[in-house]
This record gives sequence, structure tokens and C-alpha cells, in this order.
Amino acid sequence: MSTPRRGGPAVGGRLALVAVVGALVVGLAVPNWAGLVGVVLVLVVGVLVDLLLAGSVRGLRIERPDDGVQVRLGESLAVGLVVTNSGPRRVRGELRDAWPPSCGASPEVAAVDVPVGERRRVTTTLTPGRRGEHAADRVTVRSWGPLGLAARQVSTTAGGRVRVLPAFASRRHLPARLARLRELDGRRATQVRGAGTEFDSLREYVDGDDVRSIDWRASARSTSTSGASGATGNLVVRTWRPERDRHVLVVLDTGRTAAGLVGTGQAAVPRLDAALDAALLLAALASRGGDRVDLLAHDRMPRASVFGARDPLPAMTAALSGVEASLVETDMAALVATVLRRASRRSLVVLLTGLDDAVLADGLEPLLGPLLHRHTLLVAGVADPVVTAMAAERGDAAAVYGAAAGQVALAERRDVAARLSRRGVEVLDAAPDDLAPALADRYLALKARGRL
Amino acid sequence: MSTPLRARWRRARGPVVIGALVLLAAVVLTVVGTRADRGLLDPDSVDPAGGAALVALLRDQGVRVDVADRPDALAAADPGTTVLVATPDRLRRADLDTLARSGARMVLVAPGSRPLEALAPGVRAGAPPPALLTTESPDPSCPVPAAVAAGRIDTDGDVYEVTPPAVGCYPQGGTAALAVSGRTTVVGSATPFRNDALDHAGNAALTMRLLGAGPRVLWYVPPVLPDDTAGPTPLVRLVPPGWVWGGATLLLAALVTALWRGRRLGPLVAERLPVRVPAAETTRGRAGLYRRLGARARAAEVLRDDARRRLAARVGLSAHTPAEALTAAVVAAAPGYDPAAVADLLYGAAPPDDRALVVLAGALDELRGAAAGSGRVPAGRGEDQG
Repeated sequence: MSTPRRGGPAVGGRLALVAVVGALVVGLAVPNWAGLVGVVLVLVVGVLVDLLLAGSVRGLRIERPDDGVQVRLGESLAVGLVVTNSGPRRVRGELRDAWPPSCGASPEVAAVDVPVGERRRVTTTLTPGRRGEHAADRVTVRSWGPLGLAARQVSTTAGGRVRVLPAFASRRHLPARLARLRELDGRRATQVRGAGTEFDSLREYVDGDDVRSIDWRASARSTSTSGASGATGNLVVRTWRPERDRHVLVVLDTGRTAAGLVGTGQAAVPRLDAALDAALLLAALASRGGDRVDLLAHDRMPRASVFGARDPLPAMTAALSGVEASLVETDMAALVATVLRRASRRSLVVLLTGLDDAVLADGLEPLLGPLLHRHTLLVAGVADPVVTAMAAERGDAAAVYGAAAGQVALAERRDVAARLSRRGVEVLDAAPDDLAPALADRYLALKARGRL
Repeated sequence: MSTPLRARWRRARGPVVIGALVLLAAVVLTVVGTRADRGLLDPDSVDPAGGAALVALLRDQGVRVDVADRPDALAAADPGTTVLVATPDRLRRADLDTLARSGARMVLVAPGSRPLEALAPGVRAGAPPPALLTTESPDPSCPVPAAVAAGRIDTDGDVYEVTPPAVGCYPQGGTAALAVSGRTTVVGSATPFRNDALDHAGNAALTMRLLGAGPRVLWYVPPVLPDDTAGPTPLVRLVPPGWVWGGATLLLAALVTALWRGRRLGPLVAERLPVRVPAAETTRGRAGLYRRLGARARAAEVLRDDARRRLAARVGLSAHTPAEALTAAVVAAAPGYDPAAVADLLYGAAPPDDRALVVLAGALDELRGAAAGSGRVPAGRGEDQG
């Protein structure tokens, strides 16, 4: 491939060892300039011989057969390189397939031995520690001469990208929620009658049906058309099913608050990751429930969006893989304007955000009118277990002052939630681990109440 | 666990081996290099290389032998004293001046150029002649009485070029193994003075005559002191001549090592990482501010507010219930609590110090526990929720 190549010679530890031995020989046996020159000559000749006899690295063709692969965060993936030796000599040495540090490439350096005219596959295992789009860096090959004193080295690019998808740890909550969804689907008409449920069909009354579901007008019509069998004619009941084909728009706030780490130690995750996990669970659930799910990630401008995808979960997973929080204040006006523009039909708008200061409420409150007029708004906040723990701490003065500060923070959250609730916004406030199932449950509850 | 260890060892193996080799060579050279000089002509030593036998012989002859190892002892030297310096190269400039002024007889064993210049004018260090021109033990061939009396001696050390009026003995191809300049006698070899060689040829006769000429001998063993007048000695002068070249080669080896370690297998890969800050930092910061400012009133009010809110939820009242009503309801829910005490807990004055604040926080927790444990109140859903 026509890629820029950079390289040159390299020397080995063996050359340094030879030089040290040479120094001892000079010091003990030939302590004069001739000894020094002799050592220099030995080193130079050794290096020249090795460089001449080393397999040519420029004759190597390095290709990456599988490009643009995907892996879920927390899992491993083997990526391969095919090294073809079209040079005149065997190439023996090392190869480094360099990836960004967070990709966790292993082994860092692999041994290669490619005879003339043959090719070998070199496999590197990636265990990424961070989601996103990662591109491979250079591939470097070092080919040693027969003496092991010096080598030829070249760095080249062979392409290669890996997309690290979000871990979607809340997948484990999906089966239970799907069961609840099916339950909802199969509910008797009587149990789900109410605003927003959809009329499904008319059928004849059978024993056990709620008498309240009898459609008297239809029964009368049915009796009259079926002739003279009299008053004991067919009773017709209406059946209902949960609403379907509703729209759910998940909006991720990727601004300043999303960058904060919540939780302690190993369990600490950025708010964005917790929100993203919840968004994926909601998308999986809603798409199985027959609803359309769209996605928008927004801070000062849209960062990612998925609209009208036939299979929203993979599309959203891919779109969200590269989304990171930015250290800017979210522009709520722009966010709401985007939502109003993109969500043409009545939707459940789920805004996943921090919910931890008045800035959010101040920014959102004046914009609620048109939003609530057309849509149902659910604001889900990621709480910080650290603050909750601080608020409960006792013992010494430092702990009690910490508890006071924690209480202030919690009170602020309550205040924001209360302000939004008063305006008719659905509010959910949960710790990062509980957010995904709590949001799924709230969605199911809204669906059952016909609020979508 | 052992895999990274092994990998680290594999990476460090080369430098470690090279370092060990250099260290080993240094140790070997130090041991080999110093053995020859150890205890040479020590007046108390009965080692083969020591001088105790000569001291004993001199004392037998009634000569007073003083052993000194401090420079100030040289001040005691007078024309009646014979000063023996076994390692004259260690003499400082000041010591040389003292000796030159003292008028004492001096016997210097294998001196270098500095003591020669100061104490033996006319005698210079000479290059040893080719082996063909030397004889095993030449005749004295000079008029120095001690040498003439002793005859042949061991002359296996340094040799000197002698210009008159200084006199050279035991000639070796134009140089002399023993030289006399004024009151200073220079002996090129320490062997005639050694315990193990005193009985060879004329060694004893020579040394006894040289040292026993006067009533007193000052056997001076110069301490190893930095020469405070000669200025710093350049490092190169301290290195044995052969090792200048060895050192240069070692520098070359260091350069090669740097080249070896310095060449990376491909460039470093840079990566843009997202910013991650614990979200609770602001809350912690606020806690620190409260503490630094001693905001006890504010902290107590916050804690009381929270307790009031939770207690109100517990007893089924609104959060905005007046003080008297809430106090009454809480007292009813928490048996054993005095109404005045509850009112003071929930609505009292700010605590005067941090201890009181800690006590207040604990008391509020207890009150909540008591109200929750009474069982009178139905377990409402989530007292933690607002």
C-alpha cells in the first residue's frame, strides 16, 4: 500500500555487551589507542554485516484484512495483520501493532519470522478500557541481522479502526421488563380502560367479560342486523390493547454535568455513561413494545442523533459509542428547539441529565410551555451516591459539616425536582446503578396509564 | 502476576548483565591493584612486606626509633635525626618544606618526582632500561660508604637519573637504583627494608648503615591526606594510564547502550482522554468552607431542616407544618421525649461550638429513630423521598 514509511537502523543490547567486553579488553590487555580503534572497528563491521544481511523491511507488505470492527466495552477482540515477505531474505524480528493506550493492546510486541515469499498472520488482542472510535497507529517492524547486533526498522500505517460500543450493563434488566410488557399487552380490556388506550376490535360477549366493556350501541346494531331473534341477541364487547406506535425521544445532555464522576473507587462512572446505559435499556424495551425510539445527544449543539431507525438499538449503540461529555454549559434553548423541530409527532421526551443544580431548572423552566403542550416530558437525573453517603455521615466535626453540605446538595435536587413536577414534568432521580431499571419501570408505568 | 515481572526482567536483563560485568571488573581490579601496597614497610607489621624486623634490629643496636603518622611529628626532626619515609609521594607540600628546613638525614623509598624535586636536587625519576642492559644485582660502583659496605642488594624497583653533585649507586644502563643528594638518600626499591628480604645479600647491611648513622630514627608513615597546597588533582591523573583508553572504550559502550535503549519500536501513540472529575467535589468544597468559616448556625439549620422534613413525613404532616404542631406530633410519635427537649432539638439556638454541633446531629438521628420505632405511624412510602 502506498503509505508513508519511516525507518532506519537500530542497534541491539548485544552490541552494547560487545562494547563493554571490548572496554575490559582494552583496559586490561591493550591500553592504547590501537585497542580503542580495534573495538570501534569490530563494532562497525558487526553492525554493517548485520545491516547487510538483515531481511529487508521495505520488501514487506503489511495488510489488515479485517477493518472497521466492533467490540463491546469490557470484552476482548483479536485484530490481525498479514505480513507478506516479498523481499530476497527471510525477515526475523519483532512487530509492534500500535494502538492508543486505552485500547489495551496485548502483546505490545510480537515476534515475527517470515520466510521468503511467504506470509504470516500476527494477532493482537484488544481489551479496550474506553468506548469510542479508535484508530490504529503505526505498525513497526524491526528485522534483526544474523549476529543480533543491529536491525533494520520501519514504521508504516496499515489502517485499522475499532469501534468500542457502550457496555450496556443494564441488559440484565431487560428480560424482567419485557415480561412486564407482555403482561401489559395481554391485560383484560377492563383493566386497561382509560384515557389513551387504543380501541382494538369488537367481539361477542363471552362469560367472564366485564359487563362494563359491553358496547351497547354496537350490540343494538348487531341485534337489529341479525334479524328477529329478539332481545336476547348478541352482546358485543369492545376490546382494548395498549397503545402502540408511540414515539419515544431520548435526549442525552452531554454538557458539563455529564462529565462528573459519580460513585466511588472502581464503581465510579461518568454521569454520561450511566445515562447512556439507561437510554439503551429504554430503547431496547420501547422498540420491543412497538414504539418508535429516536435519540438525540446535545450540549451546545447536537452531538449525535438517531431518527427513524428501523432497528434503533444497534443504531443507537453505534451512534453513542463516540459520544463524550464536553465541558460546556448545555444550551437548553437550542436543545428544546431541536427537540421541537425533530419530534413531529406527540412523543415521550426523556431528558437524561444531571439534575443537580438550579441552572437546569432555570434554563428549562421558561421553555417548558411549548414542550409540554406537544409532548410528555420525563426528566431523569443521575444522583451521586457519594453525596448521599456524605449526607448521612456522623462522628466528628468534619463529618457533620460534610453531612450539612450533602444535605444542602440533596435539598437543591429536591427543589429542582419539585419545581419541574409542579409544571407537569415527570421527574426521576436515581443513583447510577438504579437509573436504567427505574427509567424502564417509569416508561412501563406511563405506557400502562396511557400517557405516551 | 509473574508475567509482567518476567517481562520486566527480560527488558532489564541486558543492562543488568552489563552493569554486573563492569562492577565485577572494578572489584577484581581494586583487589588485584591494592594487594601489592598493603602494609608496605609498616614499622609494626610482621607481614612479609612489613618493617618490624628492621625496627627491632635498629633498637638492638641502641638506636632510638620513633614511629610517627602525624605531620606535626616532623617538626621534631633535627640534624641528628634520620627520617625514613616509606611512601614519600604522600608527603604534602608543607611536610616537604619542613623536612627540607630540618637538616635531618633522610631516606626516601621509591619517591616520585615531587619529593625528589624538594628533597633530592640532582636526582630525577628515570625510565627503566631495556632488560638486556640490566643485571640481576649489580655492584655498588660508587663511593657511598653504606653501599660499598653492603655490596650487592635487591634492586628491583625504580631507577633514577643522577646529575652531579648527586651520586648514584648500583648503575643500570645509565640510571641508578640508589642515589645520594646532600643529606638525602633515595632508594628505588622497598625490598631491602622488608621483613622477608632483610637477610638477602647486603640488604640488612645497607639499611642498617643508612638508618643507624645517627642516634635517632623517625620512621614516618604519612597519613593519606588531601594535599591542601597542590590544588585539586585532575581526575585523569588519578586513573592508571592504561585505563584512560579502557575508559574511553567504556564511554563508547555507554553511547551504544544509549542508542540501543533510545530507539523505540515505533513512535509513542498519543490519545485524547475525556475530562473526568468527581461530581461530589463541589459538595466536598462546600463542606470544607463550612468548616473553615465555622458555619455552625448554617450547618445546624440544614440538619434540623432535614430532620423536620423527615419527621413531618413520618408523622404524616406537611413539610410546612407550624413548629408547635410538629413538635406535638413528634412527641406523640416518640414516647419518652420531653416536648421542650424536642422543640429545642428541632427549633433551638445554633450550637456554640463544633462539639455541640456533633452532639446535635447525633441527637437528631436518635429522635428520628425513636419516632420511626414507635410503630404508631404507618410505614409510609419512602421517608427519604421529598
